[in-house]
Amino acid sequence: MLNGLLLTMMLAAALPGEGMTASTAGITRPEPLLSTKDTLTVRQVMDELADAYGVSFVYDSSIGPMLGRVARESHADSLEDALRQLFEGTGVVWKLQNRYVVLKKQATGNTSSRTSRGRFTVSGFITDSASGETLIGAGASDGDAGAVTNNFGYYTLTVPAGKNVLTYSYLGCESVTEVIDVRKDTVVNVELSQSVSIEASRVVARKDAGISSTYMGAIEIPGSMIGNTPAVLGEADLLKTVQMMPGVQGGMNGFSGIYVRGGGADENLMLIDGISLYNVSHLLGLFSVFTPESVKKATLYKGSFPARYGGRASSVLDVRTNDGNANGFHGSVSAGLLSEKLHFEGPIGSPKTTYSLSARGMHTFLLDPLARLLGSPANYAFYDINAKIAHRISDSDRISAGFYMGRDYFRYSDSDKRSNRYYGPDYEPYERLTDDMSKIRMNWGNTVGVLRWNHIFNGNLFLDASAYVNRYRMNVETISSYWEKDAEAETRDRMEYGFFSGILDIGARADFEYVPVSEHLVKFGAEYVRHAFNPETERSSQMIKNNDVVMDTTMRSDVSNRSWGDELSFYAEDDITLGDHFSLNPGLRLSLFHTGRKVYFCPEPRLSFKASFGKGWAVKTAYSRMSQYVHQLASGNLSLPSDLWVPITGKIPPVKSRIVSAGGYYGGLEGWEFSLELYWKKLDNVLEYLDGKRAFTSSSGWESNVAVGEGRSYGAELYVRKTVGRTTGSVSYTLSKSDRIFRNGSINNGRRFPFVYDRRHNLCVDVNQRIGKRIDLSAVWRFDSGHWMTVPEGWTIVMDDQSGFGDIVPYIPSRNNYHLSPSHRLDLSMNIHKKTRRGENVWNVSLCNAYGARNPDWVVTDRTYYRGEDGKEETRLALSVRSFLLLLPSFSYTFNF
Amino acid sequence: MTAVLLVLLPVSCEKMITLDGSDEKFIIANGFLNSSDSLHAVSVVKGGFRMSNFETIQSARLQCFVNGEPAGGTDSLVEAASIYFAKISKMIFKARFNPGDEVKIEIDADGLHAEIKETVPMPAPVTSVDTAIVLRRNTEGNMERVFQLGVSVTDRPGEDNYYRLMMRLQGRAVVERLEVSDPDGFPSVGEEIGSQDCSISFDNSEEPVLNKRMDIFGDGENYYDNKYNIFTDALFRNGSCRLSTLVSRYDLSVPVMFYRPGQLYMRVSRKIIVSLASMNRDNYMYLDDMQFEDSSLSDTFLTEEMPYPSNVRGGRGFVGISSRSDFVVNLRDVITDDGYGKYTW
Repeated sequence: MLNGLLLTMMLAAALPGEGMTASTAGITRPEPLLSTKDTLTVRQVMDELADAYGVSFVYDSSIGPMLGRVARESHADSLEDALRQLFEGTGVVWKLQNRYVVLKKQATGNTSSRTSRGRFTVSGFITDSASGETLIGAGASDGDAGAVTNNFGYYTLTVPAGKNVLTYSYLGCESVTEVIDVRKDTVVNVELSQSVSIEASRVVARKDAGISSTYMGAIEIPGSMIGNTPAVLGEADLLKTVQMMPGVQGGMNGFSGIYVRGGGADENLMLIDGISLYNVSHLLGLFSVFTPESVKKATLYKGSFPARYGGRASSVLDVRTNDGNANGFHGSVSAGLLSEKLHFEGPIGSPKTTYSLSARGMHTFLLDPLARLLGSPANYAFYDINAKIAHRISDSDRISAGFYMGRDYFRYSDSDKRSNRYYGPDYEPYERLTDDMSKIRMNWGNTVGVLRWNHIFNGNLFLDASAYVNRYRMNVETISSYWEKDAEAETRDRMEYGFFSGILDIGARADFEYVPVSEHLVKFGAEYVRHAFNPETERSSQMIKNNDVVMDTTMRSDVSNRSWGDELSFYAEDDITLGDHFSLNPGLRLSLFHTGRKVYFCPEPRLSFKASFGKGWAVKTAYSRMSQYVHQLASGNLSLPSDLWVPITGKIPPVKSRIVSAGGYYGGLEGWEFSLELYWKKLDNVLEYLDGKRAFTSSSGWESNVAVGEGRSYGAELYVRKTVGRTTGSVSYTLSKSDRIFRNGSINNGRRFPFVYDRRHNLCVDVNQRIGKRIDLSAVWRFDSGHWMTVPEGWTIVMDDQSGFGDIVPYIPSRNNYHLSPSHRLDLSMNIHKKTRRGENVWNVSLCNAYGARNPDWVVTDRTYYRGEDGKEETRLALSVRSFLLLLPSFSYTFNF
Repeated sequence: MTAVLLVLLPVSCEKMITLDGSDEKFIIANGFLNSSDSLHAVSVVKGGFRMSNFETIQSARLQCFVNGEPAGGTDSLVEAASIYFAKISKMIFKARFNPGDEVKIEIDADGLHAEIKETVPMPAPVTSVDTAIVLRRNTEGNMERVFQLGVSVTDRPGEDNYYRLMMRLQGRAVVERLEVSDPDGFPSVGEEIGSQDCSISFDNSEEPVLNKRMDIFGDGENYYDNKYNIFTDALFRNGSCRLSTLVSRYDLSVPVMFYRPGQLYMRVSRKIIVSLASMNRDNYMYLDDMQFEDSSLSDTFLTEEMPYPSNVRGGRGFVGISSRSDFVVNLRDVITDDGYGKYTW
């Protein structure tokens, strides 16, 4: 109770009073100013207050004459009290902003300080002073209104004419306060420096994500958070960090799939610099394609969605990459248990042109030639390359070109050459040579290229225009060959088979941001994408040679028809500030998808509302509709290359989701955030494989293997986060339920069944501790209820109608009928930093699953053999439960320069 | 992908959890009924959670109802096959039902009860069958003549349809003439010396509706061979298509008991019955699942067990009902002294 009272007192002291802002910290409070002589003028009293409290007064020259009057006699025991008494009845209003006291004439008629008359725009870029990188989500405020930088570091703020005190801030940086005399639209570019002491951002401003945003379920994930999250096999991973957020589950334990609020893994829009990626994982989903060194910031939306996003039903992960250090050549090289990474960035010629290059590859990728030399029959590897060049043409124009390529590949080859001796009918020996060879090659991955142009028309209107190409390919090739030769005959039978699946997107988009007045931030734009889908194409050939006779057969078929789709979308939204306590964000996205046989039109209204009650409390509510025009048909719980990306067709409509959320938030405790969100989600036209069907299991193509149904999920998410200080961390807890139903009876006989990742409870505790200047410690503990799987419940018999013979097979009565046991694990990580003359060494030691919890990471049905009392041998059904990642240590070394 | 997983498996711990269930017993019934037949058979056995729970049914009663009216039944059990340590029994009964009828089969056996309820699907017609003799190179590289049948099928409009193509050979060989001085020991002219009534195993490898992919593993257990010749109307919905099939001459021969080349000449009369069976989706999936499980493909993917469709309420198994439309192709009679089937056409 005492702590609560103290907390209340602290909060009361921190709250803004009437006519004030909350920026009073750091101002010393001397002994009360006891009295003023009645002969002192207002200006003279102001000088005394400035000396006593170390503040500066900022005001327009038009106010000057008003300050010459004689001040009233007063007695005050605080600066605020003194200001209130000094200016009462003078026609001057004041506000305290950091160490500045801003004076303005009291408005007549409309008492709101936010009239549009006599207002101008202050705009510009906020950058990191060390690297020159633009800062996303940095705040700019004049005390009354605020703005945040967009994805390109650009902000726009409308302020009244005259002198204004503008404060710029960003988490982890020292705030900067500028006094600006605004007489016209003004460009102010600001550089922020890293802060020695970690303090919370003081500016309460309109933001795209986080507790102060109008959007619900929107969470920012800075690059530093990714690096501090304990890593599997030493590989820091963005998606594993995202899995720590409430409402987000991983699929298999330790793998990178994300399932957001009961949605499937393909219902997440994964953007890299605004371009969506189709395959975001390597090594069966163990790692994501996002190289942490290239990530500037990631923002996850799961409750309400800005209208500029569309195309997926459950979530949006917007990943922005670095532009490059404008101030010098920097980079890092890193080696771990699994991969090597390098990152280079710097200016090209002048600071106006920068580049950033990141690359990562498994050791097996670089050592493959050696592996072949040593006769290794198989190898698996992956690599990623991120590259970007940006050029600032002027304050109004910037262009950039970005490139991403990621690949997984697997190869296997085996050859069995023999020479055997045989005896003919006349018992004469002869030699026969044989060569039995087989080869498999698989590769899959994304390639993205984008050209971008940013233009500022005037201080109010910002344009981001881009054109891009996005290709995803999966290719499988097998060759089997048998050769046989002796004195009399030679035969060769060679068969080649290839399977290909891919998508090619070519598109362009334009996004505008317009700030007509500070109460409105209007975003609107359009996008066109031409999709080319090739879900399943096969080619095969067989060559049979029998002495001199050769027979060639070549076949190619599009198992599923190639198709094209045109997607066109328009959107508009307005982030409206309604007074001091309310904000509203209505938006509408209109999307059209033309498949060649059918046109789908999907209006997607979006609405978010926030009410702040002071003292850091707020409530929000939101409604969103989303549509999705592509599906990924997953063959299992791992991310397999056989997971096909397929389009909607004339028969298979778009997935649609409706999400309603509400929540309460508290941010009044400095450095802390508390939130409780409730949600309800409905999914229509979800796609799943029919029972027993997977990729390659039909000769008719994927459309005959799938069924269309509905999904629903609802739940509550609690999130507590500490963002400042030497100890930071978070606790997230989710209570949720999600299920599916296919009413036409095609799956589970039309009965509702649990979604495979319907985990009732998810708890994640994450703690980061900085020790001194050199050591970071991190610990993450997770608990998840078990997920569901389909297991047999006994045996049945199937019969061949032609032969009449029967086989005993496992009996599966329903889908997802078995609930696995919960899983939990503790991951630890330590980073040791040491600065050297040329840079910084960072050693990372991690321990995954520190106490060796035997979680059900991989479960398949199996058989056990049992001999009964009657001596009969019997096959019994069993589950083989495998636990990976037990006490898995890893080590990596990074050199930053 | 199995090979890739082998990277992870060595660093894992394994635990086996034996699944167990109640001792409750139930009837397992399987059968494939056709509306063109009047005699039907359903195989029954008693089962439980464990394999050791399989038991031979001692007594049973089967009743068949068509549109709610009794249409047939049986009490007799005929031993058909063995499974584990039990015997599967066949219950053969007479009943007539037509496309569109609702058929219910009730089985009461050893105090247990099971029901099957199905609607007989409407048949789709085989509009025509064209025949030709074509030359094809066999796997030895030699040219051989094969019999091509092009089966034209018209889809039933307005719904998803599932079909199965079958062929049956019916034939007989009769002594046409003898060219011997002493006919003793020979069958007399006009006497039947051979007959045949069997299903034909035809080659569908050149028909993309039936067989779209090559044997990617080359091991002969190829799922895409589609040995049951089942297909959907996905490629010709609401329209028609011609299915091209090939039959070897040896599959169209009539085995004979008496064979004397140059002395005994026989008249071989044959007809091919081309049947197109219409079935429901569950029946199609059942057959498709069976041929998938029989193939090498089922061992290669990291998937869960195959859930076969089941329509036996109160029990397990599947009793499918299909409708068949037949088209008879009468082959020209051949007079030959070749008893090995190398007939001229």
